[in-house]
Amino acid sequence: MVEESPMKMPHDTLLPHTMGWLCSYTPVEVPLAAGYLPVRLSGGEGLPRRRDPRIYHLMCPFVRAVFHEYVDNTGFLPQRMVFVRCCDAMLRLYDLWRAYLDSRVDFLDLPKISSPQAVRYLAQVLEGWALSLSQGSPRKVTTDGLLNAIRGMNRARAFFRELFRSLRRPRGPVPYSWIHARVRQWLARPTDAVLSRIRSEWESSQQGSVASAGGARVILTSTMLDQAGLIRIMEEAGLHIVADDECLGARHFDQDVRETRDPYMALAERYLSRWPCPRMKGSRERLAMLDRLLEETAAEGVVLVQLKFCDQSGFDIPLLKAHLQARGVPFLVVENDYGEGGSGQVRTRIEAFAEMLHQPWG
Amino acid sequence: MVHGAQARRPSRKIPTFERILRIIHTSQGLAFKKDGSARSLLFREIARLGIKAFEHRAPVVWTTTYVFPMEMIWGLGLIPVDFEIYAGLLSAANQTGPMLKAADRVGLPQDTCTVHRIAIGAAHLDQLPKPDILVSTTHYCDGKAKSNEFMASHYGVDYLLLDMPMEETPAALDYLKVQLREIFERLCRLAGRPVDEGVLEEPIRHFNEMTRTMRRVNEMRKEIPSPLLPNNGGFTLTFMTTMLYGTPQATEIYRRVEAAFHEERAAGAVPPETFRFLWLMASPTYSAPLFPWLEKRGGRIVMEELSHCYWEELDPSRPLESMARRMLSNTFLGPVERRARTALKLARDYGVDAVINFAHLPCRQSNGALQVIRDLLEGQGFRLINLEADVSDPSNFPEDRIRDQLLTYWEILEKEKGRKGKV
Repeated sequence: MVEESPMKMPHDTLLPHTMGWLCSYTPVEVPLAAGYLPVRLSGGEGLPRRRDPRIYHLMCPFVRAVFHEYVDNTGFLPQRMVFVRCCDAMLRLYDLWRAYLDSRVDFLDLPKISSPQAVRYLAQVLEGWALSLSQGSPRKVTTDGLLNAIRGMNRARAFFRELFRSLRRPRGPVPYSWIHARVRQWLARPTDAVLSRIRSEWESSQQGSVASAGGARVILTSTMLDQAGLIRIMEEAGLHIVADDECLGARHFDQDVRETRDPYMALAERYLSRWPCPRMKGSRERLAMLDRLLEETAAEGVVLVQLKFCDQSGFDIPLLKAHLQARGVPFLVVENDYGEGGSGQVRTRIEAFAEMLHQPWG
Repeated sequence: MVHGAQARRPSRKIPTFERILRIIHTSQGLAFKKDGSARSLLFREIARLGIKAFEHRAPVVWTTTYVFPMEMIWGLGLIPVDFEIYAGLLSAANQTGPMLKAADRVGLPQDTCTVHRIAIGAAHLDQLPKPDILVSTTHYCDGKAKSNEFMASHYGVDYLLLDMPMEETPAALDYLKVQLREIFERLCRLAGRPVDEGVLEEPIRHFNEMTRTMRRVNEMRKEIPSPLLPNNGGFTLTFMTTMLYGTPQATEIYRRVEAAFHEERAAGAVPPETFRFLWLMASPTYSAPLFPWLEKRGGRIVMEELSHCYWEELDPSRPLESMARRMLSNTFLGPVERRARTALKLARDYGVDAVINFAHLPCRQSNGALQVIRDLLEGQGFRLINLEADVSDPSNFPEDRIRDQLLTYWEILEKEKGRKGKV
């Protein structure tokens, strides 16, 4: 083991029975079954101005913001933290978390392919994790407990899928920003009470005014887009986001876990075969999914919000660009440095794109 | 599929990169005749291999030579290509400008790895030998696997991704072994050969022979003074020879290094040294003034992290399992502590005065948690000198800053070690 660093920050606000997670591929059903509340951590207000030498400055701003948020001792710290093998930046955050923060840290070796061997391997990894969680956790993970957690998450997934589907209606009850905010509220505290509150807000919105009348229909694609400000700019510019392909958007809620007596295999199957993010092998599948969305939603354009220094999605841009150009679909790339709102330049570009969609040339 | 000279079109337009390889092949062939050095042999062989790939004399497999078991490629008579090594050669030949511009044109963000951008730009400009299949690995970095995904689409060929688990458990070993078997079967089909692991025996024998020779070379580098490999030659030797792992040429290259060390030592010709350094991570592939600067002052890079022979010899009776074990024992795989502990061990074993890390700017994989490595090394009395620049793009090498940084550390070392830096 590496000698303990003298810079390790003690947190006196360890939140009991909580498990922090960051990547959408985290099978939260397992900690739920062990009696933990799996809370999604964010990078708070974004990156501070000062640079912390402990974390590399040319790395994913989301990862850096999360590190700052918790290492600066400004927020609560979950009692336990889980990382998955999702990307290089996240792996390095896992290293830094172990070195400089107090939570107990778990790591899940999540495959990047979805072959039957990969599914079997992930099932073994999850079973091992459940076993290790059972020691010193609020509850021992049992098959019944896991099935309960799976059922609960499936119900939540079905509800959020309904919300995302409502965006496709020409005169839907809520805009994308409304759903984006509610998803984040729920992921930060995924309790029945929070879900019920969102559900009743949703039900009352059905009787209310129409939120999305008109506007050019676009699909929003991104890896991690926590910034409500950017979405607001898009909506203010008259863009009607009819679907998304974002880590914590519709993709996160895709596909249920089968409710069987072999829950580890069922979880592994779902997490490796769900609508993939760029971390998974399968750019063709992702492009096919985008084609399907374009057809189903009759979207007129695509906006890609590219998280700076995100290699996983960055390398997909040329493929996406060529694919959409071949189909004649207008496409805008906006860079996101995990800062709220975006610059005036970003606003101008989004407005120009919206204008172009409203008044197509030729 | 027809391979070989008959398959070539007589009017084939020769890409600039192929011309460069032909020049290297001829010049290094002449140099080798004259000096018989490991360096000229290595460059001649790499160039020869590249020309064969351009001429498509056998099916061409693009892969990650420093991770993927190359014995599989050689055992089946296939031709390997690693576009990272080629990007290095393009950079050394001052050809990166047009490649980077082409990468910009296809829409690749400028914050992605330059090495991969050069390769993608080169592919876009039709400067690389065409692959029949791509076999990438999830380790070392995201960029390599993602670049391969782009290349597969660009060339319209199949892309196999070897998913490397990050844990050394029996389940992980099984998972990796099964994937290796599948890839082996796929490559057998490509080579038009029956599926028989027996073909791996000979390349494994060569690999093991090379491993033993490499270990002897590394052992000699512990001597004081340590033999000089100019211009970070140790790194170049290690990185480029990975392409030849599993061939007799790889062993021959290390044999020649060993023989040259013996000769120098016997003749008392090993230049004196002042400070000894361990080199972490990558190294510039263009002519970087920092190496002559160090050499002039007697600074000696006595070991590179990538030259560390971390693996056990392969077992010819269980080829795929031992290949999988070797892959899982890679010191870069898994938590950074593993890499940090290896760096500390190397620093101690080679008696270094300080450690130099060359931080290739877009490399999140190696730079992301460098502080953990620094903490461990500095806690044990080894200073870490972190030089930030680009490995392939000479326009992103801040010469003045790096010189100032080195000068400052040089003075600190002189004070701390009570030794004068200039010889």
